[in-house]
Amino acid sequence: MDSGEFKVLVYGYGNPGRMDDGIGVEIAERIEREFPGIAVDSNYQLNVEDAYRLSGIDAVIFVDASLDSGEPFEFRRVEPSLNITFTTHSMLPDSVLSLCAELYGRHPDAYVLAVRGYSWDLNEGLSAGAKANSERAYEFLRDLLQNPSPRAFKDAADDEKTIN
Amino acid sequence: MARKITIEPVTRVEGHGKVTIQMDDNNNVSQSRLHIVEFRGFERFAQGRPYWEMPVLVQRLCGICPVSHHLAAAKAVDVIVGAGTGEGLTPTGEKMRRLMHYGQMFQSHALHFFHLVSPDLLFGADADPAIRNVIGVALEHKDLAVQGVMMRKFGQEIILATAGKKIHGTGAIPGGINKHLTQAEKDSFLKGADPLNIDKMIEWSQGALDFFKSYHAKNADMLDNFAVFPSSHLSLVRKDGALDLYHGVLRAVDAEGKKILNDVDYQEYLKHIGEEVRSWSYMKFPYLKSLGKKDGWYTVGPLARLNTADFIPTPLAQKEFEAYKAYTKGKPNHMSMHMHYARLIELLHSAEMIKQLLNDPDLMKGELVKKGVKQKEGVGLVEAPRGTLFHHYRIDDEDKVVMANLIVSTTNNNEPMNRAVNYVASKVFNGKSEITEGMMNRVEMAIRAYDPCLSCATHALGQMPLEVELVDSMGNTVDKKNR
Repeated sequence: MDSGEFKVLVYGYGNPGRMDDGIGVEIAERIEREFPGIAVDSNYQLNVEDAYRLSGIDAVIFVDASLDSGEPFEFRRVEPSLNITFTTHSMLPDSVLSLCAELYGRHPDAYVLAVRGYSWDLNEGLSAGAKANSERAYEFLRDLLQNPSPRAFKDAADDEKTIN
Repeated sequence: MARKITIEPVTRVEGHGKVTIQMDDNNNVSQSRLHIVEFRGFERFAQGRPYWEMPVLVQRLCGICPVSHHLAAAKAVDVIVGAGTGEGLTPTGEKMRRLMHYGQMFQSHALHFFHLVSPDLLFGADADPAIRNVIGVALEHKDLAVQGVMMRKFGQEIILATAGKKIHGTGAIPGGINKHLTQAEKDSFLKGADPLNIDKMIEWSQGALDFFKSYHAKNADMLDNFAVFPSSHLSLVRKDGALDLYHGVLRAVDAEGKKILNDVDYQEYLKHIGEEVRSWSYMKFPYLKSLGKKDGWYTVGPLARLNTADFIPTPLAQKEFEAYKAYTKGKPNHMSMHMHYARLIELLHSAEMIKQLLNDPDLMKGELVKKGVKQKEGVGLVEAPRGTLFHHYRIDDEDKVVMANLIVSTTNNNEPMNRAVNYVASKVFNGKSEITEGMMNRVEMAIRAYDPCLSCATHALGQMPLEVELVDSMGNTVDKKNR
C-alpha cells in the first residue's frame, strides 16, 4: 500500500501501564507493523511539540481511549479550537491543531478515533470490553488506510453513525 | 451566610486537585486547603514484583515525568545489585543517565515557563482565559511560542536517544545503562540545523531569563510580594555544595539559611524525614524529624535548590545565580513567583550540562553496567523538575519487592502549596462577595509556581473539566461554574 503524496500520520496516545488508557498506543503499534507506508507516532499524551510534528503532514488520525464515547468507537473530524479546554501538562487534539495553525500557518485535516475504555487501573493490558472495542476500531482504521484520501477520511467521519 | 468556594480541578496543573476556600459570615477567608487525590496504590502494586522490573514499572505512574521515576527507581535498584549509589556506576552509565535527566529537566522547565507561566505574565492574571493560554501566546508572541515548542522537542529527543523509547523507556537498567550514544545522535544534538542544536538551546535559555528579568524590572511589586512566606528548603547537593540534579547528599536550610540537615547520605533518609497523615487530605505531609511535625515542613523544587546550593557548576548559570542571590543579599529566597526565576536558571544550567555531556567521550564508549554484592534494600533519589523524588525498595530472598515507599516531589511540597494558597486566598477573596476569573486564577498561579504533578492520572478524553462550586455553611451549593 502506498499513501502517495497524501501524507498521513496515525498518532496513538495514552499510558499503556494504565489498562485501557493504552488503547491508542496499541492500535498505533499495530498500524506501524502492518502499514509501513503510513507514518505512526505514539506518546503518553499530546503536547506542544506535536504542533511542529503536524505542520508537515496532510492528515492526522489521533487514536485515544475515551471515557464517554459511543461504543465501540467514534470517528469524527476535529477542527482547531481557540477556546481551548486543556488544563494540564497535556493538550487536546483541537488545541494542538490550533497551535500548529498559529505557529506554522497551516494545519492538517484531523480526525479522532475515540475508542471506548472502561478500566484505568495500574496494570498492563486492556479490559475485555476495551479489547473488543479496540479490535473493531483497528479493523475500521485498517480499511480506511487501504486507500487513504481526503475524501475517504471525510466520508468516514460523515458516516460515523452507520459505523457504530 | 458562611460560604465555601471550591475550585476543582485546578487548571493547568496535572491530575486532579481541588481548592476549598471557606468563607465566614463576613465574607472573609477563614481557611483554605488544597486537596490532592494522590495515587498511593503503587507501593502495594510493586510488592511481589521482581526488583529489576522497577525502573520500567514505575513509569506507569506518570506520563508527565516518567524519566524522573525511571531514574529514581534505577538508582534504588543500583544499590540492591551492589553497584553503589550515584558515583558507583561506570563513567558511561552515570553520564548517559545524567544526559537523560538533564534532557528531561530541560524540556520540563521549558514547557512550564513558555506554555504554563508566560500566559500569566504576558496577559495578566485578569485576562480572559480564552487568550491566557498557549494559543494566546502563539497569537500575540509567536517567537516565544515557537521557542517553547522547539525547546520541548529538543529535550524530548535527548530523552529518546538515552531512554530508547518515548513510552516506558528502558535506558536505565540495574547497575547502569543499556546503550551508548551514537555518533549520529551526538552530531545531531551538537550541530543540528537551527534551531535544533544545543547552542541555540543555550541562547534561547538565556533569552528566557532576559525576558523574565525584564518583566521583573517592570513588575517587581507583584512578583516580589505574591505568596511570600518563610520556609525551610531541602534538596540534593553535590558533596562540595554545588547544584546537582542527579546525585548528591541531602541538605536542608532554615528560613535564614542555616543548615538544619547537613549533607547526609540519603540512604538514611528515614532517620531524618517523617510523613504525617492529616484527616482532610489524601496526601501525606513530610517533615524533618529534628524539627517535628509542626515546624519541620519544607519546600522542594527550583527555589529550594537555589537556596540550598552554594554554587552552580556551569559558567553561564553561575553568573545568573550570583545576580539571583544578590537580590536577597545571599539569604534564602521565599518569593513564590521567583520559583520561575530559579527554574529558568536551572533551564540554562541544564542546557549547559547537556552540551558538556555531549562533548564527553565516555558517552560513546566504555563499560555500561557495574554490579557487586547484592543488598536487600536500596534508596534512590533524584531532583525531579518539581523537586526531590524518593524511591525506596526492600526485597526478599527471591528478589521480590516486599516494601516500596515513594515520596514524590508534589508530596514534599504539600505544606508550602497549602500555605501559598492560603496566603493568596486571604489577599484576594477577603470581603468579596463575587468570584471573578482573576481571583480564581491568582489562586491557581500560586499552585502553578510549584509546577505540581497532582496524581499521575490517566488523561483519557472526557476528563478534567474545571468546576467551581460555591457551598454555604449548611452544605448547600449556591453557585457552580464550569469551563
